[in-house]
Amino acid sequence: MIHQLAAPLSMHIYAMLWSNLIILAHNIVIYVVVLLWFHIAPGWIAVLSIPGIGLVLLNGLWMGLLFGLLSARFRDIPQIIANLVQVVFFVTPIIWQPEMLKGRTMILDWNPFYHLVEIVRSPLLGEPPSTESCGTVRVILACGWGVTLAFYTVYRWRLAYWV
Amino acid sequence: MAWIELRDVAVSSPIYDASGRSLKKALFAGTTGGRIGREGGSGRTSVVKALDGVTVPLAHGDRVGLVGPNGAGKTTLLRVLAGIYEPSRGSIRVTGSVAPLFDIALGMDPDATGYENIFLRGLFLGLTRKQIRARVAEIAEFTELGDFLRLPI
Repeated sequence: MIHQLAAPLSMHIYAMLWSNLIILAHNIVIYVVVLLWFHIAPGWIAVLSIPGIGLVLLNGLWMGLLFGLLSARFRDIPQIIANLVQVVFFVTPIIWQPEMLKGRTMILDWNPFYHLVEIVRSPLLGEPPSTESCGTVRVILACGWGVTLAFYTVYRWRLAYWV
Repeated sequence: MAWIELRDVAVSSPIYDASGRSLKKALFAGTTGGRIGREGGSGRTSVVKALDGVTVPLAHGDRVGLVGPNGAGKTTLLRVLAGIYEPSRGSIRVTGSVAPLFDIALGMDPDATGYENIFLRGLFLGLTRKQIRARVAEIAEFTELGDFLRLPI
């Protein structure tokens, strides 16, 4: 595809994000069913998860662009990332509660993925996301885009030769 | 008026072997103490000079044929013209739009219908939905497929 047409590279990332968003839309049904079944009303605060998803997507965009570029150059990066994601999945409170980690909050505070999860999840659970999480996500967004744009300025023209 | 101007364009692309493609090897290359264990050929990248010093002015209405043996750089030149390869040296200026045809089935979804694929392909080429809609009838007639365009390709 990249060899055939000079279409914007970000197009591939949009496609990736869009397909994952559709998967999320399928999975969110479970959340709605649980709410109805247990008669839980998170209230209007749940709407805050929509800008949260927006922030996550903007972060996903730079991650996709940056790691897509790096993966084109170094072919072992996709495997390395797959392994890291697995570790991060267990370190991040996805299948466990943050309250279970009393006294060791450093693991949470320094985990960018915790904050990315939190800005979408806590509104869904009826609480506004913490200011630290919102702040951290914005910092990740700014830094991530900074690095990504710097990489693209230097290496973008070479990408077609790498793939 | 559409025109293309290539000025002293050079394209050289690095050819990496398997280890040149490895981040692990790249990271550890500097940390291993001795250089004894280095296999011949690995870690070194050869650079292929596909194009060198190409200067072509192409004006509106020109029809150009490219002739050359395999590996001469015909496709590479076309890719430079299409904006896919950015030249490593020199400059290219294009006025108008380029419609490359390296792969005529590019961007087509075999599960989508012919009409849907007309839209897909049109969008890939940078047309808006409105522009495509205005041309669908003409394209459909050109394909000579008639009602088969309503079926998945």
